[in-house]
Amino acid sequence: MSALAAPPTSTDDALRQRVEALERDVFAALKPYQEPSTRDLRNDPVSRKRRVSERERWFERVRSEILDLARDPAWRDHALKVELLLTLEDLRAEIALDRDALDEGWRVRYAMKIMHVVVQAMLRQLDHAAIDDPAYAARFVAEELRNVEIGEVARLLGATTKSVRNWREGRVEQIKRNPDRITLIGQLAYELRNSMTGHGILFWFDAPREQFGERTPRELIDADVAEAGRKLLPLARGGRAQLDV
Amino acid sequence: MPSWTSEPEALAGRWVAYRHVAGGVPPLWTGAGSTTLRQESGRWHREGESLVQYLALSSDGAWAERVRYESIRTEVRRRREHRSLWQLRVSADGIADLSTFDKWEACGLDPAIAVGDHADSQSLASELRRARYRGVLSPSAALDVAGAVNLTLFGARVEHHIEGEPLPEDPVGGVNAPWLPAILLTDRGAPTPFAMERTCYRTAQHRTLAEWRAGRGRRPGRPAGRRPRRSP
Repeated sequence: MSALAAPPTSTDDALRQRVEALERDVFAALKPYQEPSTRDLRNDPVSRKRRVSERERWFERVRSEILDLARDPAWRDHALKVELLLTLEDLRAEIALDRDALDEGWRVRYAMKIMHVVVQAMLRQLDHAAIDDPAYAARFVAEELRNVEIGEVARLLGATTKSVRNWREGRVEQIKRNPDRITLIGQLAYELRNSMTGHGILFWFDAPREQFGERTPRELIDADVAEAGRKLLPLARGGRAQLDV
Repeated sequence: MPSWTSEPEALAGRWVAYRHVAGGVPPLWTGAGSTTLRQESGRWHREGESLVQYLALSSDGAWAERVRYESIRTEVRRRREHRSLWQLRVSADGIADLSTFDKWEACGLDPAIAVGDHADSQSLASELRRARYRGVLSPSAALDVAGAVNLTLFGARVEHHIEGEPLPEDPVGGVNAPWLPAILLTDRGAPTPFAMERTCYRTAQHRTLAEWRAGRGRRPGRPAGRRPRRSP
C-alpha cells in the first residue's frame, strides 16, 4: 500500500503467476476452521492427526512458494521480500504453538491474514512496475476509460485519437509523445479504478481541489508532470480507504 | 505532560461503525513491516508513525468522509462513485470520550482541534496513545450534523468477514481483539445525497462548531481550551 524504494525489475507473466498462486493458497486457508459438531470428534486422535498433517502439507507448500519467490532476482533487494519471510516465520511460530490445529484464538489465522496483506502488496507492486512502461500504461488507460469518448481520452493523455484507437484495439506501439504523462495518468487511473467509473476517473482530473488552490489535477499535470506526480499520487492512494480528513 | 487539564473519560463498550474503501481493498489496516504498514496521514496519525482505523458511527458519516476527501460537489461526480461500504462491530475499552465539543472543553482542550487542522489532532493522538487510550470518539469534521461522531481506533485490526448473518455481539478473541466482525453492505456504493448536502468541505466553516460557539457566546478564533504541543 505504498510507494517502494526499489521496484522489481521483472514483470513477466511467470513471476505474476507464481505470486497469484501463493495469494490463492493463503486466501483459501483463511477460511475459518469449521469445528466438528461433537466434542468427541474435536478430540478424536484420528481427526487431530488429519488436521495437523493437512496443515503441515499446506505450510510446506506455501513455504516452498515463498522461498522460490524470495530467491527470484526480481525481489532480491525488495522490502516486501523481507516482510514476506518474516510473516512466514511468524506463521511457523504460531503453528508450533497450536498443536491440535484448532486455532481457537485465531492466532494462526491472524498470521495468515498478515501474510495475505503482504502478498497482495506484491501483486500491486507488479502492477505498478508494469504501468511504469508507457506502452503498457497507454493500453491500460485506454481500457479503463473504454466507455469515455475517444477524443477525451486522447486529450487527457496528450495523444492522438488514432493512437488511442490503436491502444483500445490492443495494438502496441512505441510511445514517443508524452511518455511521462501517460505513465503518471496510468498510475493514477490504477489507484482510482476501484472507486469510480471510467467517466468518474475523467471527472477526477477536472475537479478543482481545495488543497491545490482550486487547481485541477489536469492543470497540475499540464504545468509539470513530475511535480504533479508528487502531489497527485499520494492523493489518489489516500483515497483507497476512509481517512478522517 | 499531556495538553488536557482533566483526563478524557475512558469508555468501554460496543459500537456499530461504518467505513468505506475502494473495491478489493480490505476494510481495515494491518501489515507486516515498513512497506505494508504505511498508511497515508489522517486526522489522528502521521504516515509512517502508526496505523489507525478511521470509522464513522453512521453510514452517512462514512460517506461524508468520502465526499470531503474527494471534494465531490456535483451529482455527476457522486453518481460515478463505486465504493465498498462495510459495517463493523467494535468491542473495546479505553476509548477517549471526546465525542462532543462540550467534552473537549471539559477536558480543557480547544474544540476547534476536533474539526480543524491536522497537526494539532495528530499531536493530541500521540498524547492519547502515550496515556494508553485505545482510540477516540470525536465529532465528525466531514458530516456537519449535530451528533455526528467518528470512532478512531489506534493500531492494526483485521476484518472477520461475516456473510449471511447479522453482526455478532462479540468478536473472536473478546474485547480489544484484533478481529472486528465486518459485513460488506455494498461493493458499488456511492455517497448519499444527504451526505453530500451536509458535508463540510475543507475550506468551509464547520456550522455545528459555529453554532456550539454561538450558544456559548464564543467567537471564532478565540480558543476555548488548550492546544497540544506540536511535534517539530
